[in-house]
Amino acid sequence: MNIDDVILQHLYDNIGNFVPGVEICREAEVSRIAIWNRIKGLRKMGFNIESKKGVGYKLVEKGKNIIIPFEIRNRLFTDVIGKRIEHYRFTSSTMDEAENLIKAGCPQGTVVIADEQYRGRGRRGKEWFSPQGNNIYLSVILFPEYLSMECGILIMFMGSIAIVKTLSDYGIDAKIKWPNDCMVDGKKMGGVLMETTSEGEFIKNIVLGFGININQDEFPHSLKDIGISAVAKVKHKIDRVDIITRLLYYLEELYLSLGKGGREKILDLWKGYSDTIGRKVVVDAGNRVIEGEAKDIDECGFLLVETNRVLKKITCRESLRYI
Amino acid sequence: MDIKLIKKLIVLMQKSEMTEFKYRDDDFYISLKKEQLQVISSVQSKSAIEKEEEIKKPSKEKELIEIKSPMVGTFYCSPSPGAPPYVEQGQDVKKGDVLCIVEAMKVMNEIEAEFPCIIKKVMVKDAQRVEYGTTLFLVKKA
Repeated sequence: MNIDDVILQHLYDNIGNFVPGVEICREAEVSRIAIWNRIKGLRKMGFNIESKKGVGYKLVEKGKNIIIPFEIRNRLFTDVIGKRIEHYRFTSSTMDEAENLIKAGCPQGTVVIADEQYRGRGRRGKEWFSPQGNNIYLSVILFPEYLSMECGILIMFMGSIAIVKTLSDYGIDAKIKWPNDCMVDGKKMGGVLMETTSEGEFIKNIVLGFGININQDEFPHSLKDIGISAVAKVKHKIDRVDIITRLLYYLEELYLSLGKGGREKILDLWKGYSDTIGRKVVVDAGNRVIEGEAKDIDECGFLLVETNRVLKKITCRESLRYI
Repeated sequence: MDIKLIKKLIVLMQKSEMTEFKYRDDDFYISLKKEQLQVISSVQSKSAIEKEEEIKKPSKEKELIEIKSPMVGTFYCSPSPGAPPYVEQGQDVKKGDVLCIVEAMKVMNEIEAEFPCIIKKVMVKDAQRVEYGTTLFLVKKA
Protein backbone atom coordinates (compact mmCIF):
# COMPACT_ATOMS: atom_id res chain seq x y z
CA MET A 1 0.00 0.00 0.00
CA ASN A 2 1.26 3.46 -0.80
CA ILE A 3 0.97 6.33 1.66
CA ASP A 4 -2.25 7.69 0.15
CA ASP A 5 -3.85 4.27 0.49
CA VAL A 6 -2.78 3.96 4.12
CA ILE A 7 -4.23 7.38 4.91
CA LEU A 8 -7.45 6.65 3.04
CA GLN A 9 -7.87 3.25 4.70
CA HIS A 10 -7.52 4.84 8.10
CA LEU A 11 -9.97 7.62 7.27
CA TYR A 12 -12.45 5.15 5.78
CA ASP A 13 -12.21 2.96 8.91
CA ASN A 14 -13.32 6.00 10.91
CA ILE A 15 -15.57 7.64 8.35
CA GLY A 16 -17.52 10.57 9.79
CA ASN A 17 -15.17 10.87 12.78
CA PHE A 18 -11.97 12.74 13.40
CA VAL A 19 -8.76 10.75 13.46
CA PRO A 20 -5.73 12.23 15.22
CA GLY A 21 -3.01 13.14 12.78
CA VAL A 22 -0.41 11.45 14.94
CA GLU A 23 -2.24 8.13 14.54
CA ILE A 24 -2.07 8.41 10.77
CA CYS A 25 1.61 9.32 11.03
CA ARG A 26 2.25 6.12 12.94
CA GLU A 27 0.32 4.00 10.41
CA ALA A 28 1.96 5.55 7.36
CA GLU A 29 5.37 5.95 8.97
CA VAL A 30 5.83 9.50 7.72
CA SER A 31 5.94 12.97 9.28
CA ARG A 32 2.94 15.17 10.10
CA ILE A 33 3.90 17.60 7.39
CA ALA A 34 3.99 14.77 4.86
CA ILE A 35 0.52 13.70 5.95
CA TRP A 36 -0.75 17.23 5.57
CA ASN A 37 0.63 17.40 2.03
CA ARG A 38 -0.99 14.09 1.17
CA ILE A 39 -4.32 15.27 2.57
CA LYS A 40 -4.12 18.31 0.30
CA GLY A 41 -3.50 15.98 -2.63
CA LEU A 42 -6.45 13.77 -1.70
CA ARG A 43 -8.73 16.80 -1.48
CA LYS A 44 -7.60 17.82 -4.93
CA MET A 45 -8.64 14.39 -6.20
CA GLY A 46 -12.10 15.07 -4.83
CA PHE A 47 -12.16 13.60 -1.32
CA ASN A 48 -14.13 15.63 1.20
CA ILE A 49 -11.70 15.69 4.15
CA GLU A 50 -12.07 18.12 7.05
CA SER A 51 -9.16 19.08 9.23
CA LYS A 52 -9.20 20.60 12.71
CA LYS A 53 -6.11 21.86 14.40
CA GLY A 54 -5.20 19.73 17.38
CA VAL A 55 -7.94 17.19 16.58
CA GLY A 56 -7.08 15.63 13.28
CA TYR A 57 -8.72 14.70 10.01
CA LYS A 58 -12.18 13.51 9.10
CA LEU A 59 -13.44 11.90 5.92
CA VAL A 60 -16.91 13.42 5.66
CA GLU A 61 -18.32 11.02 3.07
CA LYS A 62 -17.24 8.25 0.74
CA GLY A 63 -15.37 9.29 -2.36
CA LYS A 64 -17.44 9.70 -5.48
CA ASN A 65 -16.24 9.46 -9.04
CA ILE A 66 -12.60 9.35 -8.01
CA ILE A 67 -10.89 6.87 -10.28
CA ILE A 68 -7.98 5.62 -8.25
CA PRO A 69 -7.11 1.97 -7.59
CA PHE A 70 -7.98 2.31 -3.88
CA GLU A 71 -11.56 3.35 -4.62
CA ILE A 72 -12.05 0.70 -7.27
CA ARG A 73 -10.54 -2.07 -5.18
CA ASN A 74 -12.72 -1.15 -2.21
CA ARG A 75 -15.87 -1.57 -4.23
CA LEU A 76 -14.88 -4.44 -6.46
CA PHE A 77 -16.43 -7.86 -6.05
CA THR A 78 -14.42 -9.97 -8.45
CA ASP A 79 -11.90 -12.75 -7.90
CA VAL A 80 -9.65 -12.56 -10.94
CA ILE A 81 -10.19 -9.32 -12.80
CA GLY A 82 -8.86 -6.32 -10.92
CA LYS A 83 -6.38 -8.31 -8.83
CA ARG A 84 -3.96 -5.60 -9.72
CA ILE A 85 -4.99 -2.13 -10.85
CA GLU A 86 -2.64 0.32 -12.51
CA HIS A 87 -3.73 3.90 -12.85
CA TYR A 88 -2.30 6.60 -15.10
CA ARG A 89 -3.29 10.26 -15.09
CA PHE A 90 -2.06 10.72 -18.61
CA THR A 91 -0.80 8.13 -21.04
CA SER A 92 -0.67 7.40 -24.75
CA SER A 93 -3.16 4.55 -24.37
CA THR A 94 -4.07 1.97 -21.75
CA MET A 95 -3.42 -0.59 -24.50
CA ASP A 96 0.24 0.51 -24.67
CA GLU A 97 0.59 0.37 -20.89
CA ALA A 98 -0.99 -3.08 -20.83
CA GLU A 99 1.51 -4.30 -23.40
CA ASN A 100 4.36 -3.03 -21.24
CA LEU A 101 2.91 -4.66 -18.14
CA ILE A 102 2.67 -8.00 -19.95
CA LYS A 103 6.30 -7.72 -20.98
CA ALA A 104 7.30 -6.86 -17.41
CA GLY A 105 5.22 -9.79 -16.12
CA CYS A 106 1.86 -9.12 -14.48
CA PRO A 107 -0.90 -11.41 -13.21
CA GLN A 108 -3.99 -12.32 -15.18
CA GLY A 109 -6.80 -9.88 -14.54
CA THR A 110 -4.56 -6.83 -14.27
CA VAL A 111 -6.57 -3.71 -15.05
CA VAL A 112 -5.14 -0.55 -16.54
CA ILE A 113 -7.06 2.71 -16.29
CA ALA A 114 -6.30 6.24 -17.44
CA ASP A 115 -7.80 9.67 -16.86
CA GLU A 116 -6.71 10.88 -20.23
CA GLN A 117 -5.11 9.41 -23.33
CA TYR A 118 -3.25 11.31 -25.98
CA ARG A 119 -3.30 8.49 -28.47
CA GLY A 120 -6.44 6.53 -27.61
CA ARG A 121 -6.60 3.65 -30.02
CA GLY A 122 -9.35 2.49 -32.27
CA ARG A 123 -8.91 -0.10 -34.92
CA ARG A 124 -5.87 -0.05 -37.25
CA GLY A 125 -4.50 3.33 -36.29
CA LYS A 126 -7.88 5.04 -35.89
CA GLU A 127 -8.19 7.29 -32.86
CA TRP A 128 -10.52 7.08 -29.89
CA PHE A 129 -11.44 10.52 -28.56
CA SER A 130 -10.08 10.47 -24.99
CA PRO A 131 -10.31 13.81 -23.18
CA GLN A 132 -9.48 14.14 -19.50
CA GLY A 133 -11.57 13.07 -16.58
CA ASN A 134 -15.01 12.33 -17.91
CA ASN A 135 -14.96 8.94 -19.49
CA ILE A 136 -13.64 5.45 -19.06
CA TYR A 137 -10.48 4.27 -20.70
CA LEU A 138 -9.62 0.86 -19.39
CA SER A 139 -7.78 -2.26 -20.45
CA VAL A 140 -7.94 -5.74 -18.98
CA ILE A 141 -5.15 -8.28 -19.34
CA LEU A 142 -6.11 -11.95 -19.66
CA PHE A 143 -4.06 -15.11 -20.03
CA PRO A 144 -6.53 -17.82 -21.03
CA GLU A 145 -5.44 -21.44 -20.87
CA TYR A 146 -5.50 -23.39 -24.10
CA LEU A 147 -8.02 -21.14 -25.76
CA SER A 148 -7.89 -21.33 -29.54
CA MET A 149 -7.78 -18.10 -31.47
CA GLU A 150 -11.03 -18.97 -33.26
CA CYS A 151 -12.84 -19.28 -29.95
CA GLY A 152 -11.00 -16.38 -28.37
CA ILE A 153 -12.64 -13.79 -30.55
CA LEU A 154 -15.73 -14.31 -28.45
CA ILE A 155 -13.96 -12.57 -25.58
CA MET A 156 -14.45 -9.36 -27.50
CA PHE A 157 -18.16 -10.14 -27.60
CA MET A 158 -18.05 -10.54 -23.83
CA GLY A 159 -16.62 -7.05 -23.61
CA SER A 160 -19.58 -5.56 -25.48
CA ILE A 161 -22.06 -7.61 -23.46
CA ALA A 162 -20.45 -6.39 -20.22
CA ILE A 163 -20.80 -2.77 -21.37
CA VAL A 164 -24.46 -3.22 -22.31
CA LYS A 165 -25.24 -4.90 -18.98
CA THR A 166 -23.49 -2.11 -17.08
CA LEU A 167 -25.36 0.62 -18.95
CA SER A 168 -28.59 -1.25 -18.45
CA ASP A 169 -28.08 -0.94 -14.66
CA TYR A 170 -28.42 2.79 -15.28
CA GLY A 171 -31.56 2.37 -17.32
CA ILE A 172 -29.74 2.93 -20.58
CA ASP A 173 -30.88 0.68 -23.39
CA ALA A 174 -27.76 0.09 -25.45
CA LYS A 175 -27.65 -2.16 -28.49
CA ILE A 176 -24.63 -3.87 -29.95
CA LYS A 177 -23.82 -3.16 -33.55
CA TRP A 178 -21.82 -5.99 -35.05
CA PRO A 179 -19.26 -6.78 -33.98
CA ASN A 180 -18.74 -4.68 -30.86
CA ASP A 181 -19.98 -1.10 -30.94
CA CYS A 182 -22.36 -0.17 -28.12
CA MET A 183 -24.95 2.16 -29.58
CA VAL A 184 -27.60 4.31 -27.94
CA ASP A 185 -30.09 6.17 -30.10
CA GLY A 186 -28.00 5.21 -33.11
CA LYS A 187 -24.88 6.87 -31.67
CA LYS A 188 -21.80 5.28 -30.23
CA MET A 189 -21.49 5.24 -26.43
CA GLY A 190 -18.85 2.59 -26.06
CA GLY A 191 -16.49 0.37 -27.92
CA VAL A 192 -14.22 -2.58 -27.34
CA LEU A 193 -10.81 -3.13 -28.81
CA MET A 194 -9.15 -6.49 -28.50
CA GLU A 195 -5.51 -7.21 -29.14
CA THR A 196 -4.13 -10.66 -28.73
CA THR A 197 -0.91 -12.53 -29.12
CA SER A 198 -0.93 -16.10 -30.27
CA GLU A 199 1.68 -18.79 -30.40
CA GLY A 200 0.71 -21.57 -32.74
CA GLU A 201 -2.93 -22.46 -32.29
CA PHE A 202 -3.46 -20.91 -28.89
CA ILE A 203 -3.81 -17.47 -27.43
CA LYS A 204 -0.96 -16.35 -25.22
CA ASN A 205 -2.39 -13.13 -23.96
CA ILE A 206 -5.31 -10.80 -24.48
CA VAL A 207 -5.64 -7.10 -23.90
CA LEU A 208 -9.27 -6.10 -23.91
CA GLY A 209 -9.71 -2.35 -24.14
CA PHE A 210 -12.82 -0.40 -23.25
CA GLY A 211 -13.73 3.13 -24.18
CA ILE A 212 -17.03 4.34 -22.75
CA ASN A 213 -18.37 7.88 -22.92
CA ILE A 214 -19.76 8.62 -19.47
CA ASN A 215 -19.78 12.24 -18.32
CA GLN A 216 -18.73 13.87 -21.56
CA ASP A 217 -20.98 16.94 -21.98
CA GLU A 218 -19.86 17.99 -25.38
CA PHE A 219 -18.27 16.35 -28.34
CA PRO A 220 -16.07 17.99 -30.92
CA HIS A 221 -17.86 18.91 -34.10
CA SER A 222 -16.67 15.86 -36.02
CA LEU A 223 -18.11 13.45 -33.43
CA LYS A 224 -21.33 15.27 -32.52
CA ASP A 225 -23.57 13.20 -34.73
CA ILE A 226 -21.94 9.85 -34.06
CA GLY A 227 -21.01 9.95 -30.37
CA ILE A 228 -23.17 10.01 -27.25
CA SER A 229 -22.42 10.03 -23.55
CA ALA A 230 -24.22 8.21 -20.73
CA VAL A 231 -24.84 11.51 -18.94
CA ALA A 232 -27.05 12.63 -21.82
CA LYS A 233 -29.44 9.79 -20.99
CA VAL A 234 -29.42 9.72 -17.18
CA LYS A 235 -29.21 13.52 -16.75
CA HIS A 236 -26.89 13.45 -13.76
CA LYS A 237 -23.18 12.96 -13.29
CA ILE A 238 -22.32 9.29 -13.04
CA ASP A 239 -19.81 7.78 -10.61
CA ARG A 240 -17.29 6.19 -12.92
CA VAL A 241 -15.95 3.97 -10.14
CA ASP A 242 -19.37 2.35 -10.00
CA ILE A 243 -19.36 1.85 -13.77
CA ILE A 244 -15.92 0.25 -13.62
CA THR A 245 -16.79 -2.15 -10.79
CA ARG A 246 -19.96 -3.27 -12.56
CA LEU A 247 -18.17 -3.64 -15.89
CA LEU A 248 -15.44 -5.79 -14.37
CA TYR A 249 -17.97 -7.90 -12.49
CA TYR A 250 -19.99 -8.68 -15.60
CA LEU A 251 -16.85 -9.32 -17.60
CA GLU A 252 -15.49 -11.76 -15.04
CA GLU A 253 -18.79 -13.60 -14.83
CA LEU A 254 -18.72 -14.16 -18.59
CA TYR A 255 -15.01 -14.96 -18.73
CA LEU A 256 -15.20 -17.62 -16.05
CA SER A 257 -18.19 -19.23 -17.78
CA LEU A 258 -16.26 -19.71 -21.01
CA GLY A 259 -14.96 -23.17 -20.24
CA LYS A 260 -18.34 -24.48 -19.13
CA GLY A 261 -20.39 -24.39 -22.30
CA GLY A 262 -20.27 -20.65 -22.11
CA ARG A 263 -19.71 -20.26 -25.80
CA GLU A 264 -23.36 -20.73 -26.75
CA LYS A 265 -24.41 -18.57 -23.84
CA ILE A 266 -22.21 -15.73 -25.03
CA LEU A 267 -23.47 -15.98 -28.60
CA ASP A 268 -27.06 -16.04 -27.35
CA LEU A 269 -26.52 -13.06 -25.07
CA TRP A 270 -24.88 -11.17 -27.88
CA LYS A 271 -27.79 -11.91 -30.20
CA GLY A 272 -30.20 -10.73 -27.53
CA TYR A 273 -28.41 -7.42 -27.12
CA SER A 274 -27.64 -6.81 -30.77
CA ASP A 275 -29.89 -4.98 -33.18
CA THR A 276 -27.87 -5.97 -36.25
CA ILE A 277 -29.53 -9.26 -37.03
CA GLY A 278 -32.57 -8.82 -39.23
CA ARG A 279 -31.41 -5.42 -40.46
CA LYS A 280 -30.64 -4.38 -43.99
CA VAL A 281 -26.98 -3.56 -44.05
CA VAL A 282 -24.28 -2.27 -46.35
CA VAL A 283 -20.80 -3.56 -45.76
CA ASP A 284 -17.96 -1.67 -47.33
CA ALA A 285 -15.13 -4.11 -47.83
CA GLY A 286 -12.84 -1.68 -49.59
CA ASN A 287 -12.76 -3.41 -52.94
CA ARG A 288 -16.36 -4.64 -52.86
CA VAL A 289 -19.63 -3.55 -51.33
CA ILE A 290 -22.06 -6.10 -49.96
CA GLU A 291 -25.65 -5.11 -49.47
CA GLY A 292 -28.24 -7.40 -47.97
CA GLU A 293 -29.93 -8.64 -44.86
CA ALA A 294 -27.92 -9.54 -41.75
CA LYS A 295 -29.19 -13.06 -41.04
CA ASP A 296 -27.16 -14.37 -38.16
CA ILE A 297 -23.69 -14.76 -36.71
CA ASP A 298 -21.84 -18.05 -36.97
CA GLU A 299 -20.21 -19.92 -34.09
CA CYS A 300 -17.11 -17.74 -34.32
CA GLY A 301 -19.09 -14.53 -34.37
CA PHE A 302 -18.73 -13.75 -38.07
CA LEU A 303 -21.71 -11.97 -39.58
CA LEU A 304 -23.75 -13.77 -42.22
CA VAL A 305 -25.30 -11.44 -44.77
CA GLU A 306 -27.77 -12.67 -47.38
CA THR A 307 -27.64 -11.14 -50.82
CA ASN A 308 -29.58 -12.64 -53.70
CA ARG A 309 -30.24 -15.74 -51.60
CA VAL A 310 -26.56 -16.30 -51.06
CA LEU A 311 -25.11 -16.15 -47.54
CA LYS A 312 -21.86 -14.27 -47.31
CA LYS A 313 -19.58 -14.41 -44.31
CA ILE A 314 -18.24 -11.04 -43.22
CA THR A 315 -14.91 -11.32 -41.48
CA CYS A 316 -12.86 -8.17 -41.38
CA ARG A 317 -11.77 -4.80 -42.64
CA GLU A 318 -15.37 -4.09 -43.41
CA SER A 319 -17.29 -1.19 -42.00
CA LEU A 320 -20.96 -1.84 -41.47
CA ARG A 321 -23.84 0.56 -42.02
CA TYR A 322 -27.55 0.10 -41.46
CA ILE A 323 -29.92 1.11 -44.27
CA MET B 1 -11.32 -37.96 -22.79
CA ASP B 2 -12.25 -34.49 -23.82
CA ILE B 3 -10.75 -32.42 -26.57
CA LYS B 4 -9.15 -30.01 -24.10
CA LEU B 5 -7.08 -32.71 -22.54
CA ILE B 6 -5.94 -33.87 -25.96
CA LYS B 7 -4.96 -30.32 -26.84
CA LYS B 8 -3.00 -30.06 -23.62
CA LEU B 9 -1.18 -33.27 -24.45
CA ILE B 10 -0.33 -31.96 -27.90
CA VAL B 11 1.07 -28.76 -26.48
CA LEU B 12 3.06 -30.64 -23.88
CA MET B 13 4.47 -32.86 -26.56
CA GLN B 14 5.39 -29.95 -28.79
CA LYS B 15 7.33 -28.44 -25.95
CA SER B 16 9.10 -31.58 -24.85
CA GLU B 17 11.68 -33.85 -26.41
CA MET B 18 9.14 -36.66 -26.45
CA THR B 19 8.34 -38.00 -29.90
CA GLU B 20 5.75 -40.62 -29.10
CA PHE B 21 2.98 -40.99 -26.56
CA LYS B 22 0.50 -43.81 -26.10
CA TYR B 23 -2.24 -44.26 -23.58
CA ARG B 24 -4.88 -46.93 -23.18
CA ASP B 25 -7.65 -47.61 -20.74
CA ASP B 26 -10.92 -49.56 -20.84
CA ASP B 27 -12.66 -47.44 -23.38
CA PHE B 28 -10.03 -45.17 -24.73
CA TYR B 29 -6.85 -45.34 -26.74
CA ILE B 30 -4.71 -42.47 -27.92
CA SER B 31 -1.43 -42.43 -29.77
CA LEU B 32 0.47 -39.27 -30.58
CA LYS B 33 3.57 -39.17 -32.70
CA LYS B 34 5.90 -36.36 -33.60
CA GLU B 35 8.37 -36.17 -36.44
CA GLN B 36 11.60 -35.07 -34.90
CA LEU B 37 12.27 -32.27 -37.33
CA GLN B 38 8.63 -31.19 -37.49
CA VAL B 39 8.89 -31.51 -41.25
CA ILE B 40 5.83 -30.37 -43.08
CA SER B 41 6.21 -30.61 -46.79
CA SER B 42 2.82 -30.17 -48.32
CA VAL B 43 4.13 -26.92 -49.70
CA GLN B 44 5.10 -27.95 -53.20
CA SER B 45 1.71 -28.54 -54.75
CA LYS B 46 0.20 -25.24 -53.67
CA SER B 47 2.90 -22.86 -54.62
CA ALA B 48 5.47 -24.70 -56.65
CA ILE B 49 5.20 -22.18 -59.44
CA GLU B 50 6.16 -19.29 -57.24
CA LYS B 51 9.11 -20.94 -55.65
CA GLU B 52 11.77 -21.52 -58.23
CA GLU B 53 14.60 -21.41 -55.77
CA GLU B 54 13.15 -24.27 -53.82
CA ILE B 55 12.67 -26.41 -56.87
CA LYS B 56 16.34 -26.00 -57.64
CA LYS B 57 17.24 -27.14 -54.17
CA PRO B 58 14.70 -29.78 -53.29
CA SER B 59 16.85 -31.13 -50.50
CA LYS B 60 16.56 -27.86 -48.61
CA GLU B 61 12.84 -27.70 -48.95
CA LYS B 62 12.26 -30.34 -46.37
CA GLU B 63 13.75 -28.20 -43.68
CA LEU B 64 11.22 -25.47 -44.21
CA ILE B 65 8.42 -25.16 -41.74
CA GLU B 66 5.09 -23.52 -42.42
CA ILE B 67 3.71 -20.96 -40.04
CA LYS B 68 -0.03 -21.00 -40.43
CA SER B 69 -2.85 -18.64 -39.63
CA PRO B 70 -4.74 -19.63 -36.48
CA MET B 71 -7.88 -17.90 -37.71
CA VAL B 72 -9.89 -16.48 -40.56
CA GLY B 73 -9.02 -12.85 -41.09
CA THR B 74 -6.89 -10.26 -42.80
CA PHE B 75 -3.11 -10.48 -42.84
CA TYR B 76 -1.10 -7.39 -41.99
CA CYS B 77 2.67 -7.32 -42.27
CA SER B 78 3.09 -4.15 -40.19
CA PRO B 79 1.67 -2.70 -36.96
CA SER B 80 -0.11 0.14 -38.75
CA PRO B 81 -0.54 1.23 -42.35
CA GLY B 82 2.69 2.64 -43.75
CA ALA B 83 4.85 1.35 -40.90
CA PRO B 84 7.80 -0.94 -41.70
CA PRO B 85 6.95 -4.67 -41.72
CA TYR B 86 7.53 -6.78 -38.64
CA VAL B 87 9.70 -9.21 -40.57
CA GLU B 88 11.17 -9.50 -44.04
CA GLN B 89 12.52 -12.33 -46.10
CA GLY B 90 15.90 -13.48 -44.89
CA GLN B 91 15.43 -12.02 -41.43
CA ASP B 92 16.47 -13.83 -38.27
CA VAL B 93 13.77 -13.92 -35.65
CA LYS B 94 13.91 -14.91 -32.02
CA LYS B 95 11.31 -16.92 -30.16
CA GLY B 96 8.54 -14.55 -29.18
CA ASP B 97 9.19 -12.00 -31.94
CA VAL B 98 6.06 -10.73 -33.61
CA LEU B 99 5.80 -11.95 -37.21
CA CYS B 100 2.58 -10.33 -38.36
CA ILE B 101 -0.97 -9.43 -37.41
CA VAL B 102 -4.07 -11.31 -38.44
CA GLU B 103 -7.23 -9.34 -37.87
CA ALA B 104 -10.76 -10.61 -37.70
CA MET B 105 -13.71 -8.47 -36.68
CA LYS B 106 -11.42 -5.79 -35.32
CA VAL B 107 -9.55 -8.27 -33.14
CA MET B 108 -5.89 -7.66 -33.77
CA ASN B 109 -3.92 -10.84 -33.23
CA GLU B 110 -0.15 -10.69 -33.19
CA ILE B 111 1.41 -13.95 -34.23
CA GLU B 112 4.61 -14.74 -32.42
CA ALA B 113 7.45 -17.03 -33.46
CA GLU B 114 7.28 -20.25 -31.48
CA PHE B 115 10.96 -20.91 -32.03
CA PRO B 116 14.02 -19.03 -33.34
CA CYS B 117 14.03 -19.13 -37.14
CA ILE B 118 14.92 -17.47 -40.41
CA ILE B 119 12.10 -16.14 -42.58
CA LYS B 120 12.52 -17.86 -45.94
CA LYS B 121 9.42 -16.58 -47.59
CA VAL B 122 6.42 -14.43 -46.82
CA MET B 123 3.55 -16.31 -48.45
CA VAL B 124 0.80 -13.69 -48.34
CA LYS B 125 0.51 -10.04 -49.24
CA ASP B 126 -0.33 -7.23 -46.87
CA ALA B 127 -4.09 -6.83 -46.32
CA GLN B 128 -4.79 -10.20 -47.94
CA ARG B 129 -7.62 -12.35 -46.62
CA VAL B 130 -6.46 -15.58 -45.05
CA GLU B 131 -8.31 -18.69 -43.95
CA TYR B 132 -7.75 -20.88 -40.95
CA GLY B 133 -4.58 -22.83 -41.77
CA THR B 134 -3.36 -20.61 -44.62
CA THR B 135 0.44 -20.69 -44.73
CA LEU B 136 1.74 -17.25 -43.83
CA PHE B 137 5.48 -17.85 -43.74
CA LEU B 138 7.99 -20.48 -44.67
CA VAL B 139 10.73 -20.51 -42.12
CA LYS B 140 13.84 -22.44 -41.32
CA LYS B 141 14.65 -23.33 -37.76
CA ALA B 142 17.70 -21.47 -36.57
